[in-house]
Amino acid sequence: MSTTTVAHHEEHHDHPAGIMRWLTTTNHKDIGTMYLTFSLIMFFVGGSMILAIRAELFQPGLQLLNPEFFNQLIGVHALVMIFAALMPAATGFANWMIPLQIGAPDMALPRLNNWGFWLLPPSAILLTLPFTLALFGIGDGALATGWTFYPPLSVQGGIGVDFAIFAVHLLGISSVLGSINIIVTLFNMRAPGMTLMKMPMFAWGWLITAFLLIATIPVLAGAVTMLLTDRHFGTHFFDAAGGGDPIMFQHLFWFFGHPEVYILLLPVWGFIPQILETFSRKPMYGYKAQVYSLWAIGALAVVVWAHHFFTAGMPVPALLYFMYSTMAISLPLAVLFFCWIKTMWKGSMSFETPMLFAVGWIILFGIGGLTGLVLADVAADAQYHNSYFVVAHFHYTLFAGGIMGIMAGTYYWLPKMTGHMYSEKLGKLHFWLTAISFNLTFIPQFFLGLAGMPRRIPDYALQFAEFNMISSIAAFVLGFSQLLFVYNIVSCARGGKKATDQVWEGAKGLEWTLPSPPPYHSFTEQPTVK
Amino acid sequence: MALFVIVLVVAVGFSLIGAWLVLPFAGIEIVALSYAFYSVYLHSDDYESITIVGDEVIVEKKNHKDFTMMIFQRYWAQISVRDVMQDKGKSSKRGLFISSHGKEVEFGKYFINDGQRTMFARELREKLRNIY
Repeated sequence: MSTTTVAHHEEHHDHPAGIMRWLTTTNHKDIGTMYLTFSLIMFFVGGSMILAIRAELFQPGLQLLNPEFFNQLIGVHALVMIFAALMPAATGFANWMIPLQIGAPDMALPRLNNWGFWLLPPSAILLTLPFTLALFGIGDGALATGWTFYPPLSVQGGIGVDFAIFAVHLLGISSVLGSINIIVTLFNMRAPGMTLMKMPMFAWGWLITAFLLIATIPVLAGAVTMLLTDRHFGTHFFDAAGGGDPIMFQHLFWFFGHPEVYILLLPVWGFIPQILETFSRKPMYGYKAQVYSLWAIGALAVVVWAHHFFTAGMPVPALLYFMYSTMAISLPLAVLFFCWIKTMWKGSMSFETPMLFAVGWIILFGIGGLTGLVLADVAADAQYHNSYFVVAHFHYTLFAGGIMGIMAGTYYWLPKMTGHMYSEKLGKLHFWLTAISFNLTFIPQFFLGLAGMPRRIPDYALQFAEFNMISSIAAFVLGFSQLLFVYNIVSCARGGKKATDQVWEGAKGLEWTLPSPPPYHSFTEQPTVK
Repeated sequence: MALFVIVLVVAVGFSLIGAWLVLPFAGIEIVALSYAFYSVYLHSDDYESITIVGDEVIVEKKNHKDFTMMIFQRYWAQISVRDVMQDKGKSSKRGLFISSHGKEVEFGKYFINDGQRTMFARELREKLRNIY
C-alpha cells in the first residue's frame, strides 16, 4: 500500500506577475519584502524631516523654519519613524523569517497578511498629506502636538490632528491584523517536534510583541477616538472645563506608549542572540533564561506607563510604585545582557557586518537602558523631564536599540533573502559611520539636557550653541551614511557573489536549510525538529 | 484565554475611570482573534490522500466537515492534467484529475502548484502502471 497525503494550505500557487503580484500576493516572502521596502522608504522620509529640524537647530535663532512647521516636523518625524519605519521593519522580518524558522509553508492567514500591509501606505499618506494640503491653503499643516497628542493642545489643533488620528487607527488595525496572524501561525503551524521551548528566539520575541500589541492597541484606539469626539462631537473626555480630565489621556496614551517601546525592541532582542551565536560559533547561552526574561519584560511593560509623566502630578504612593516597577525592568534586562555577553564569551568570534552591528548594538542599547534607569528615578526625573536628556535617551533605545538592530538583522538575512552576498567592505564602512555619527549626534544632547535645554523648541539660548552645532553636523553625516545602506541592499538584490544555503558558517536553524534565496513555496515537505 | 482576560480587564478598568470608548475596540479585537483561531481550527484536519491497495485507488478529501472518498479500479484509472477555470472564473490554471467509468475527482486543487501537479501526475501514472 502506498499513500500520498498533502496538507491543507491556502491557494496562492499560480501567482500573477508584475504589479498584480505585489497588490494581490499572499506569499509571506513577498509581503515581507513589501514591509521592508516600505520601512526603508519611510525611514528616509522621517530622516529627512529630522535633518530639516537639525538644520534649524544648527545655530540659535530662527533661520529656516517657522515654529509651527518645526513642531509639525517633530511630531510627524516621531510617528513616521515609530509606526511607518521601525514597526514595519520588524513585521517584514516576521513575515519573511517566522514561517522559515518554524518550518511552516506560509503564515496561517495569508490574505489577512496582505490586508495588514496594504493599510500602511494609506496611513503614511494620511500622516504626511496635511503638509501638502497646507501648500494649497487647505488647513494649517500636520499635527503640531508631538507624537503624544496631548490635550488640550490636540483638541485645539488643526486638521492635521484629525488626519493623524485616522492614520493611527489604520496603523493600529494593521498592527492588530499582523499580531493575530503571528499568534495563530506560531500556535498552529510549527513543524512537528518544535515545541514552544524549541522555537527560535526571534519567534519568541515576536510572540510577546504580538501579545503586547493585542493588549494595548484598543487603549490607543479608544484614546484617539475620544480625542476625535472631543474635537468634533461636543464630548468632554479630556476637557477640564466640561468635567473631563486631560491627565486621563496621558494615562491612556502611555498605557499603549510604553509597551510600544518593547513592541519595537522585543523582535530585535529575538534575533540579536541568533546573530551572536552564529558569529561566536557556539550555542546561545541561557535560552530558557532569555525566554523567561522576555516574558517578564513583556509583563512589566504594561504596568509602568506613568513614569512618562511623573511631573504631571501624582500621589506619592503612585510615584513610588511607578518608579520601583520601572526600575524592576532592569532585572530581566540585565539577565538578557548577561546571556548576550556570555554567548560571545570564549567563542570563535568573527566580525562580519551583522556581528559588528550586534556588538555595537549591545553597547549603545546598554547606554539607552542605563540612562532610562536614571529617568525612572522620580527625584532625578523632575530635572530631566522634557529635556534633551530624554531625547538622547530614547534615541539610544530606539535608534541604536531598534534601527541599528534592524540593520544587523538586514545584513544577517539579506544573503538568504536575495541569494547574493552584500559588499562586506561597504557594510563595515556603513557600521562605523553610523556608530560614530550616531554617538556624536546624541552624546551632546545628553549634555544639553543636563544643562537644561528643553525638547521641542526651534530656538535656544546661546549657551547651548556648540553642542547643537556638533549634534547637527553629526546628524547630517548619520543621515547621509544611510545611503550606503540603501546602495548595499539594492546592489545585493541585483546581483553579486552567490550566497550558499547556510550563508554563515555558524548559522543554525531551519531557515538556513533552504536554498538562498528560498523558493517561492518554501518547505514543500514539512521538516521535523528533533 | 489569558490574553482575552487581560484585554477585557484593561478595557473594563479604563471604562470605569471614564474612558469607555476603549471597550468597543477591545471587543472587536477579541472577536477578530477568536475568529482567526476558529477558522484555522476548522481546517486544521483538512487533507487529501491517494491510497493504492491491490486493485483499488482510494482518493480521500477532507475539507472542514466535507469528507469524500472515491474508489477507482486501478487498471482503468486515468490521470490527466488539464486547464480548468478557477472559482469565479477569474483566471485559468491547471488541475489534476483522476477519472474512470464516468467518475472524476480533482486532486490537489489547493495544495500544489502547476509544476508539482505535473510531476505528481507523472509519479502517480508510474505507480499505477507497476501492477505487480
